[in-house]
Amino acid sequence: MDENELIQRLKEGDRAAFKTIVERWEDMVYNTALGLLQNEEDAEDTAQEVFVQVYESVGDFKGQSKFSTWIYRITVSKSLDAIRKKKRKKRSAFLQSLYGKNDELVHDPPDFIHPGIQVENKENAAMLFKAINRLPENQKTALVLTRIEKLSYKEVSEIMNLSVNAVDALLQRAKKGLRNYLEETVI
Amino acid sequence: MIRIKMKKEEKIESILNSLDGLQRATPRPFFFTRLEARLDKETVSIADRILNFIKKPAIAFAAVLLIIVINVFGVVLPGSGSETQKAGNNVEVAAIDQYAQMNANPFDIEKVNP
Repeated sequence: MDENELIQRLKEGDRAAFKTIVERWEDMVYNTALGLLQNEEDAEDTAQEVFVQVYESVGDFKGQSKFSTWIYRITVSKSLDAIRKKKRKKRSAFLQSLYGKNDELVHDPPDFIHPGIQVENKENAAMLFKAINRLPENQKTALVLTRIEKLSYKEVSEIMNLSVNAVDALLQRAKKGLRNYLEETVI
Repeated sequence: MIRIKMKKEEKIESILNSLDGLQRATPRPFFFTRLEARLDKETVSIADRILNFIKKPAIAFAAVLLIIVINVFGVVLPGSGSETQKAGNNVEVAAIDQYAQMNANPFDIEKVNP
C-alpha cells in the first residue's frame, strides 16, 4: 500500500493501516531507541510509546517532511526523555541511599552489547557503547543515527533540524570525545 | 614505550571501528500485539479517569445540588417566562382547541347527543 494512503487511513483511525505502519517501521524505531538507551527493555517500552504517539497525533503530520523523518524525530525525543527520567531516578535513589532511606545499592548497569554486533567485535563494542553513553545528547544522537542506523548526514540533519555542516561538526566533536575517553580508560 | 603506545592506539582504533558490520536490532516477536494491548489499556484508562472524576464525592454532590437548584427554579418560577414564550403557549393552546373542534365526530363515544 502507498505511504500516503496508509497515513490517510491512519488519520481515519484504521487499525489495519496502523498495523502495516508498525510492521514497516518497528525495526527502525526499536534500533534507534536501543542505540540511544542501551537497554532492550527500555527500548521496547520507548518503541511502544513512539507508536502510541504516532497513532494519536498522526493528524499533526502535515507531510512537510518524510513520514520516516517524523517518526525518527518522535523516537529520538522519546528516547532522550527516557534517558533523562532514568538519570533523575538514579540520582534520587543515590541520594536516598546516602540518607539511609533506601537500603538498595545503586549499581551501574552491566555492559551493553548490541544484538547486531559481530561476535569478534563484542568486547570492543561494549567499551565503545560505554564511551558513547558519556557524550552530550546531541552528539550521541548524531552518532547513533549515522553509525547504528547508518543514515546519511543529510537525513540526520533533517531529523535533528540542523544544517549538514552542523551535523558534521557534532560528529567530529563526538569522535574527539570518544577518543579522549578511550585514551584515559584503555590500558 | 613507543610499542606500547602504538598498541594502545591500535586498540582504540579497533574500538572506534567496532560498529562496522553492525546489523539492525529487531524487537521481540509479536511487538504489535503488545503495542495494541497497551493502546487499548491507555484508552480504557482515559475512560476510567473520567469515571473516577465523576465518582468523586465533591463532584457528585455538586451535580446533585445543580439538579436540585434547576428543579427549584422550575417549580418556583413557572410564570417567569418571557412575553414571547407566553404568547407562544397561547397559540399552542388555541391550535389544540381548533384541532379538537375540527375532529368533532358525530359518532364520538363521549357525545351521547350529536
